[in-house]
Amino acid sequence: MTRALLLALFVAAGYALGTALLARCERLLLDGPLRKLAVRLPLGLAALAYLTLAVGLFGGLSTPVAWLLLLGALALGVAPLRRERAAAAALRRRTAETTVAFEAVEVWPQLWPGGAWPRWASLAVGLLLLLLTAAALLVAWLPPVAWDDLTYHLAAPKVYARTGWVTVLPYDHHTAFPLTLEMLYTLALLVGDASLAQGVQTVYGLLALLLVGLLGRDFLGPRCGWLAVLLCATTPLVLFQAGSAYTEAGFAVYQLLAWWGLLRYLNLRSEAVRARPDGSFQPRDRLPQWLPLIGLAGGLCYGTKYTGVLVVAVLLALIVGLGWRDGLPQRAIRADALRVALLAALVAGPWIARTWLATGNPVFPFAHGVFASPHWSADRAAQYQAAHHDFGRAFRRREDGSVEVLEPTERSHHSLTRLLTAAWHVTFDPDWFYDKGLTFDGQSRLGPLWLAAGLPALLVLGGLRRRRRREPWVPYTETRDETVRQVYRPEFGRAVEVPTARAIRETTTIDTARVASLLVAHLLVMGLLWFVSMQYTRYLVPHLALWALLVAWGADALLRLPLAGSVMALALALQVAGGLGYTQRATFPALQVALGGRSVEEYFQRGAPGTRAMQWINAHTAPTAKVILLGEPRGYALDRDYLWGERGHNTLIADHARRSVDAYLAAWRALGVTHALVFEPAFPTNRTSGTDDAALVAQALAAGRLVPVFPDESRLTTVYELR
Amino acid sequence: MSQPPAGPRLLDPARLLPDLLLTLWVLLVAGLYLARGLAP
Repeated sequence: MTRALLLALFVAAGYALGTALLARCERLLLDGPLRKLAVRLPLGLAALAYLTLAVGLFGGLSTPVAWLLLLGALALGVAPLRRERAAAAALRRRTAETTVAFEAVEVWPQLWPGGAWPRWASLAVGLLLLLLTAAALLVAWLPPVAWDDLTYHLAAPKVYARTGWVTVLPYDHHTAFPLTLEMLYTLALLVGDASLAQGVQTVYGLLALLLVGLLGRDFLGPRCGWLAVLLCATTPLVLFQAGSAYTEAGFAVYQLLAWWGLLRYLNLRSEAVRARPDGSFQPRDRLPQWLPLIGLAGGLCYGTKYTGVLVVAVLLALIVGLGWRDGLPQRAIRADALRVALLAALVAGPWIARTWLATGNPVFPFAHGVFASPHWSADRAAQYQAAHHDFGRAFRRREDGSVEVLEPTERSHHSLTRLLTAAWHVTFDPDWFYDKGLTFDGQSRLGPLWLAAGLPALLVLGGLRRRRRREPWVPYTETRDETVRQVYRPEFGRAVEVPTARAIRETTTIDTARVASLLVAHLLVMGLLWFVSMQYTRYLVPHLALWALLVAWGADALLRLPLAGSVMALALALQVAGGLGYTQRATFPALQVALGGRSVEEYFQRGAPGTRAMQWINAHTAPTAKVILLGEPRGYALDRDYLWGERGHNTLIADHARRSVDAYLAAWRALGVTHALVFEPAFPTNRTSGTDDAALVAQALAAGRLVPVFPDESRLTTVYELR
Repeated sequence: MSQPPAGPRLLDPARLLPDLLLTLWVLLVAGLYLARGLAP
């Protein structure tokens, strides 16, 4: 209950701060509460994250400060929200005085028009979303168990909350990444616990769905909005993160927000595009009041993940390319692009500066060849890149569980054939593009709808573009039927004529062909970059949120056809059933806890085999103890200082210290290490020859320099004390 | 809000071929996905 209230406080504080920030942007018209929520809440939460970073960079984080930040954010929003309420009430009073018949018609040109989205379908999707949200919150409310959460998404915030400093932790290169969401997790850990942090991520997941729905509704038609939400919400690859504290949902939210800004800026809802009397078009006007949103959200994409820089690059390319194509003046294009670029750089700046100052490389540990950092080395960079390039390699699992790689050469999974069949393989062989150890429950799957409706979407787009060239549509019509009425105004002393709008009919034609074309451009660019860099499907999740719009548009088009419509409905049902099936499997352990079948403690220990050993360390070692983790990077459960020991992780232990066991243990002592936690399956200590970490530890064990103090035979984790 | 007037004919020859091809495509993908999902 307290946790739910705290989560509500996070949402309220984020919304209030977002409102306060946007209070001066009066031209940024956001109709209705949902659109306001979808823009204000993510921006407000980001502002809260940046405030946490600002305090944390100076070591000032503590629980009272966290409360101050949250309550301060809430207080800042009170005045603008009250002003907004008063203005809305005044508007209602004014409009009540005149009778106006207002009819707004929106037209989404489709290749095959017709068909409506029945109300029951919206209700069914709504119910499904409620069910999935409940499942996500059930998992979120329990302790964290996801690999990356225990490794750094929550492990680093736990260190930040304990020490008050937001630093680049010298043992973990992930902490050099931009950590906007992790700042919110730090705040959550300071006022609550890890479950609250996971709840914040669930809020981001819901926000992403809301933005997908609104983007689809506003730019491709209401059916597309619902279908896109349904598609995202039933994709196992997306669902697996529900209830965790990963960051893809945050990246997705800021990318969707930037794209909302872009589509509005490009004026694809045709609010100012007029046809000339001779039928030709004026150059398409832009709506520059949406530029700040593009810049802010684009910068926040970088603030969530390094690859956000690609989002900004694509946005800028589209602003420049379409401006040039529509014949806008060069100067205007330059000015618009510059505004976006500068704002994005300003938002990304703190993260770039922090990483650069701490490591000597603004994108540590990437681009080591360009920005050589003393905290990394050429062989580590090569190893890191090789691990990245390993994703996407075809393999088959043998009966004994071992993996047989089917690729003929090292680079064969980057060939042209594989590029052209990428969508096919991602659908039917999802395990190739995922962590090999984590594919047992089907979390790498996309479902059938992406491919089934995605390819037809491209064909439908081709047809629609051809038709538009043949018969260009007039994008905007507006009819105003104004009548004049005589009123007596005492202040004038006579009757005056007041024009009163009696009937207004507004037709907005949405440029669906261009919207879909832009989404295809995004798909091609991001898809190609993904293909050549790291074929890991989890990194596609933020982009899937946008591509879902395109796929939903294809599904919508097919649903309008008599034959294809029926099989598309079947494919849709299969997608939903797959999503629900996955949710049931993934939520089962949490459900067992909720129903009393297993304890919270058991559930938590199931997450990482070393958890019991870490809890033993917390209970039985001095607060000044420092633990070196070997074979187990998931240090979240530790309440002591710790570091990752293996050479591949960091340069804390110099290579010359690995020449002998004495020098090796002296290096440990110099780092303050008092204990070692060894996870045998990943760090076998049965070989004493060699100078690698495992051999050196085995030598130390043989010499009695490391004494076992907590052997956990069943889980193969041992804690040693350094003597 | 409203959609443009609907008026699809059930057997519009201009639509029949794409309809058939798209039906086959969706059936192929959905069928194969189901078959692989149910495979041991």
